Amino acid sequence: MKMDYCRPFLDSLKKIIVEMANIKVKGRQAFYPEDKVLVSKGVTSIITFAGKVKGRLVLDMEQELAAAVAKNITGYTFDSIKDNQLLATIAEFNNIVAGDGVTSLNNKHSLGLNLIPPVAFSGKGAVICIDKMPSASVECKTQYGTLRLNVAFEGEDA
Amino acid sequence: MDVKYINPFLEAMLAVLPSFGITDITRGTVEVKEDMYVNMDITSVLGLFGSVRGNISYSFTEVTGLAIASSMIGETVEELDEMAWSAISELSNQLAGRGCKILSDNELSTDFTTPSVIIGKDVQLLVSPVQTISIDIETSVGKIQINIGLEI
Amino acid sequence: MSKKVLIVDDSNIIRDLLKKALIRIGCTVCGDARNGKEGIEMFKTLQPDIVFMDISMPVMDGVEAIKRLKQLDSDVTIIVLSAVGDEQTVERIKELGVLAFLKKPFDDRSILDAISAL
Repeated sequence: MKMDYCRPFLDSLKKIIVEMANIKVKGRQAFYPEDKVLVSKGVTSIITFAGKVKGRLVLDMEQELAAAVAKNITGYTFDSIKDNQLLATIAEFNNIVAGDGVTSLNNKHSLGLNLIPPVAFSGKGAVICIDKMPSASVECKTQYGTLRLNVAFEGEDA
Repeated sequence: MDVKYINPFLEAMLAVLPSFGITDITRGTVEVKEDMYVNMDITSVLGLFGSVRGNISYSFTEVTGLAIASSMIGETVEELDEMAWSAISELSNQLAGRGCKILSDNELSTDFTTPSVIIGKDVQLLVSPVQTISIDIETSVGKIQINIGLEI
Repeated sequence: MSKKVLIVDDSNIIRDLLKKALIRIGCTVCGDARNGKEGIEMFKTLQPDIVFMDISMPVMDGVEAIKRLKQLDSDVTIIVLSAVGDEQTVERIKELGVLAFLKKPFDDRSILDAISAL
């Protein structure tokens, strides 16, 4: 994994979660190599992107954090983390974070990456399995709970 | 959504599934949904890009997923372990791959991203906020639900 | 700044946020469309002063919609809002003759700045 390709997403997340949801990521974060299987913390969004290389960004949040992000962005309180608007809001949030990260990567490395629409799901304990793509994760703490950001790239240049 | 974007993925089912011993493939209900939600035990989702842009997902019950994995691996798989999800990942890779190949042969050059397999008993999945076609395919090992949400 | 604005974006969350922001800065939102095709139809009937346009959308994307709007009205004022905004993309979009390119997320300030260029 090229760390150069991972860090922009963390930078984008830390910036955009403040701008859109007024939530701060506390402390310092360090990427670590991730297993093939991620166990969902509660609400998870996956977005893939492709250009000269292909990659994927996963944002995985504890329920309380997902609820806070969705509420702060939209102004609405959601009764359930299975609410379609909550999932759509988390997906849109991921879209904007990924868009910002991809923008930096394209400017720096001319990767010509474009986003594919995100998917989102809720279900604590659900597992996400990804074969054939090495990935790196970072844990981010906030006042509402933790978030895991996971980045993967495939293709020769990654 | 034009059938020319959907049919290649249905053709792919007919072409790929029999090679893993899955037979009696028939198309069940087709539904158009404004938002797409799936709540089955296993869903493999892949991104599509090129002439079309969006997501395709293949969903199974645990029983069907295990039967498919057993059939692909050639021995009985009893739980959704790495071998099982890896087999399901590979199957969806081949199904989407074949669909994209057919689209590309029809001058709609399309590629796809590596599958993410989501496993969970109580999962509510929003595949795509765009209009989605949902198709149930009945097979000898049970139902496979395909959801295709495209921005075209 | 009582401009009549049409919003074209496939995300109902973005449409909602943008609508609120535009109202806060004193604009009137005359309509919101979910894709380029709907946007063009609404443009014809609503005749807005400004169109806020997303790029990635189903049915008809922003690039195609901008081209068609320009054919309908070469003086149309379009502000693009997009998640991806690298230099190449921005250049490609600006060549279509849009007033401004804003990268998501947006705030009241960035919208005001874009509109004040009018």
